[in-house]
Amino acid sequence: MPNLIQIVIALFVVLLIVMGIVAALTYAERKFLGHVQMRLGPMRVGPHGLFQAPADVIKLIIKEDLVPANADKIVFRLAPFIVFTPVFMLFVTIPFARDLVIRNLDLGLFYLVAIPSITVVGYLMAGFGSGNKYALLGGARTAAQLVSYEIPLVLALVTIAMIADSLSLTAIAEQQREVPFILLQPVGLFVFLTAALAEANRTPFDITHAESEIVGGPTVEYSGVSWAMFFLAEYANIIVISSVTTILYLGAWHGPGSDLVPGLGLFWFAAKAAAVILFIFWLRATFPRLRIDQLMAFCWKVLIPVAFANLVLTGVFLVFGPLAFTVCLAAALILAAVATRPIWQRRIGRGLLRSLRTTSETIARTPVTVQYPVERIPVHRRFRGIPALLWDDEVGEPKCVACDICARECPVDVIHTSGRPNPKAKTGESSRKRIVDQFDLNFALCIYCGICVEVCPFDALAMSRTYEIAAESPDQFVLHRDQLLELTMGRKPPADDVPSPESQTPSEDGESAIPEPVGAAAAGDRGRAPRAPRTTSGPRTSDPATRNSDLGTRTPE
Amino acid sequence: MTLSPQLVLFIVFSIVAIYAAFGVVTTENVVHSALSLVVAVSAVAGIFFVLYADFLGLVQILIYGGAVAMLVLFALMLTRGGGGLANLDNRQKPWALVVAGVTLAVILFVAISAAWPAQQVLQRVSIQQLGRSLFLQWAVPFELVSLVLLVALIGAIVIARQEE
Repeated sequence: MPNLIQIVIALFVVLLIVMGIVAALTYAERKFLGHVQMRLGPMRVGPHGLFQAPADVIKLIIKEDLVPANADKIVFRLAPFIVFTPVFMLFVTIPFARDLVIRNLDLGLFYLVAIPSITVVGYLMAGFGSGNKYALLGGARTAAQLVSYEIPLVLALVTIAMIADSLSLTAIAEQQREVPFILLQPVGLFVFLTAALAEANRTPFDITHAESEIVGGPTVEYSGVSWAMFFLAEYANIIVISSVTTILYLGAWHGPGSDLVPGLGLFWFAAKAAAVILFIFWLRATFPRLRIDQLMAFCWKVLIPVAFANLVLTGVFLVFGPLAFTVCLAAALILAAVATRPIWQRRIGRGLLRSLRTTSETIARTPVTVQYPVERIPVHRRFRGIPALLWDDEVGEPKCVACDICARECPVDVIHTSGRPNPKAKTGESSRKRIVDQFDLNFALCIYCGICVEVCPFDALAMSRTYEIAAESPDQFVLHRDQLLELTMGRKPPADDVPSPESQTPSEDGESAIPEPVGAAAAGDRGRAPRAPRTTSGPRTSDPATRNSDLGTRTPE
Repeated sequence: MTLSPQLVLFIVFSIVAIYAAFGVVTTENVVHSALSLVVAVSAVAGIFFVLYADFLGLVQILIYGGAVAMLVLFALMLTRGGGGLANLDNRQKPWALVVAGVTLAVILFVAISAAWPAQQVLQRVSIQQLGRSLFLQWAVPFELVSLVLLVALIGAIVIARQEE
């Protein structure tokens, strides 16, 4: 049975190709949606986020595949296979180029309708087997939607079969050498594509999943590889829809030069299918999800009558010729115009077209996203960040003299200061008799009111332009003198000019900071290792014990 | 009789169909019962494929495997609170027995009275031949069946609308 082995190998190859295309599609869709919404889409993994899809695949494979305690285990486990297998089976008979088909079935078109009907059972199994009411609701919605939209789908396909006089996909494709069926069946294409999107649960027909209402519907309880199979089925379905649309309506592999250059047919096919996929993405980017009653009403009151009219008119043309067709078409149009007057009066279609125009315009615009750590948006000139200390460049010391006025005026009490006699005052270098020694600002509580800046008599404070205020632990919320100086200086204050506390001998007024070992010992007493400050600010610790000593509750030396 | 691939497939599909059919009537969970029905009718579709009745097989999958099974499941899930152990017996048991017995008798009668083997060589019937015989030779029965279905459809709508 070499034939059977060939088919199995071909199927395996197709499976791999489909999985590859699906991975590419997820990336393409996220990029497309991102740009429509003026975002960049995935950017982090690899150049322009190219490795996002492989990363997602790895994540899904590694993720634990959970079975809920309340689930019907066998049904729950089987459901993903029942959903995926029929979709994959469709690839058996889809011709991607003139002879590039695993098996050209005489009943190809009917096969395309019959096999996916099993998928619904899979979704119902998932909905029931999960033991979850959202999943059950989603399963019920799937059943209702898929049964309803199968009817217009079949009607559109029957019309194609009537024109082509065949059910074989290859034969149908070959008949479009001169004229693609989109010109003969524009209405049929509309009906087919709409119904097919509904069958594939794609937006705007994705009420079966409806994340915002039923949190994913039948797939809510699935994780890891099981969920990936549903995902694979959905995207494989998109490939099927685009391929079948290309074959039935867009002339398949026929295009300029496709008969002369070998391989060009496959290119034309891929290009047309890609265009259909892009259109599907575009619809998703544009339209909101329909409500379930709107969805049903649209199918039964709009799509099915239109599909029937299309079928009958095509039949009239084929049997009675163009003259009878024209008469019937005119009659049908008048009838439709009268029957749908409320719709025309409310101009429903106009809104749809306008929204499509809007999304097509936004995709051309430049995304406003910037690559944050690398790029930064300039803040407004009136922007106020954390209050920061200013540096006196002439003398080479902070402007602050630790007068404590800001600390007293602070409405939320987040500033603590302490100073010491300024050594530079003795040598006459500086006019400041005292100089700031400690300046602690708890920015987790700061309200950026700017009162400290207003009240400072020495103009030693200014509102910085910093907006990156985050910390990994509560004590890191307290910024110290050198960190606050750094905010305005843009560099670390020179350590030499600001002698660190331990290099100071305890001065005569006893105001100087306590030696470092005491603070460290105090920290050790509470069983905590002394923590290094977030940014280098001299040999200081943010330990509260040290700060308490500044406030008068002196640690015994 | 040699063990051809067709015969192997036929046996496999038959075993699956019979096993699943037993599952339909023996399991206590109505949803499992309905799912077994899907397996049974799909296996029968497989038998059709083995016997070169492609169209019939696809119809079997489309109508029984997909639509009918789905409607059964749909109704069960919505009306029985999502399945579980339900009381499957009711007063119609004797009538069900009668119907099942008569059906079995008919099938057995046909099977025994038929001239076996029916055909030495299986022939693939093209969809064109099938269409011609359906719409020319058997047009009246076909239209009658359509009419019956239409009446059933309208009847269902009327019954559903009565509550409003």
